[in-house]
Amino acid sequence: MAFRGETLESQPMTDNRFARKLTDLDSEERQLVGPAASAARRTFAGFAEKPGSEYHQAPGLTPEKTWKAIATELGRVSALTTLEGNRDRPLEAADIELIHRGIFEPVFGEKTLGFRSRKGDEVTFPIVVGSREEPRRIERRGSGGKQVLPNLGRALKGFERELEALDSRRAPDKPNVSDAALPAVKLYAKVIGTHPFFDGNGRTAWAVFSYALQRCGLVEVAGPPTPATRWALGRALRDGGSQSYDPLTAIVAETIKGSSLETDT
Amino acid sequence: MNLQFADYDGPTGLYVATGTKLLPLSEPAGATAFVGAGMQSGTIDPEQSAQIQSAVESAMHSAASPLAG
Repeated sequence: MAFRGETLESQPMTDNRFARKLTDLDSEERQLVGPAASAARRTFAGFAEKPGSEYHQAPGLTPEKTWKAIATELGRVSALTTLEGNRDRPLEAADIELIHRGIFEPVFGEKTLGFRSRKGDEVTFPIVVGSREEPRRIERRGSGGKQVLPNLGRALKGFERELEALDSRRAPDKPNVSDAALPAVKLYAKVIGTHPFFDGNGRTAWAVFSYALQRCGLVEVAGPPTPATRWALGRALRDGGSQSYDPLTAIVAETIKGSSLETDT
Repeated sequence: MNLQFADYDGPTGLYVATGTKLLPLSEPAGATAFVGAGMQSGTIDPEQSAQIQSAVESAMHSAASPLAG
């Protein structure tokens, strides 16, 4: 088990830009972080992770209070990653560990997980496979511990290359929303597929996805994890010939195109 | 990145799309939808997802209400 300090000893928490206190944020950051943290505190009390997971219960807190505290930190960090994407700043693989620490370290302190990094650091997670009509769940293996950092590095380099190609498209070759969403979906799926941590991968990957959507010139996306979405994510995470990012990309694009600003009438 | 899209001419950047509404992230309803999506991300238990979705819809409704405290 890799706890904080084993993989990023040279970067103490004070150097983590995703762990800054409210007082250390600029005005634009505070404008987003405040409502996100407030919404989390108001909305996500009372739930809890299943017993047995690494982040089920923090020292000195009930599972419900642990869940609520993590939700608040997720809101804070996701707002920061969103702004980082909006400001067009590239991420490095090590930043993904900083994002994870930004979410979980305020709640779990020294027990916060670092990247899996050793040969025996294996992890499995459920994905949905089968047809849309008859989906079923299987366990998929994350990357080997030694492959976590290289895999994330390759995913981020590929993301930057796709952004360059996207940025070069101008009229009359204007991209569709799905063209722009594809690099973000790929990065999201690759982070989940790598499964860099023993727990908290979905929340970390989502903060990265929030970042990526902004880099791709889009907006954030919210939606319930319906069976269709789970199946689409499963397609993106499969091994072999049936793997495809297209179904999840289509859901993201349709969510954006189906949304409009409310206007006073 | 500022792109022009062939099939979308709405605003981009610091908004959240819910499938019907486009909400500013800096407003309570937008922030609620935004954090809610994060809590439902990845491979979370479907039963818990339903609970979270219900909480998000309730909070978005109250956040959008002029009577919300």
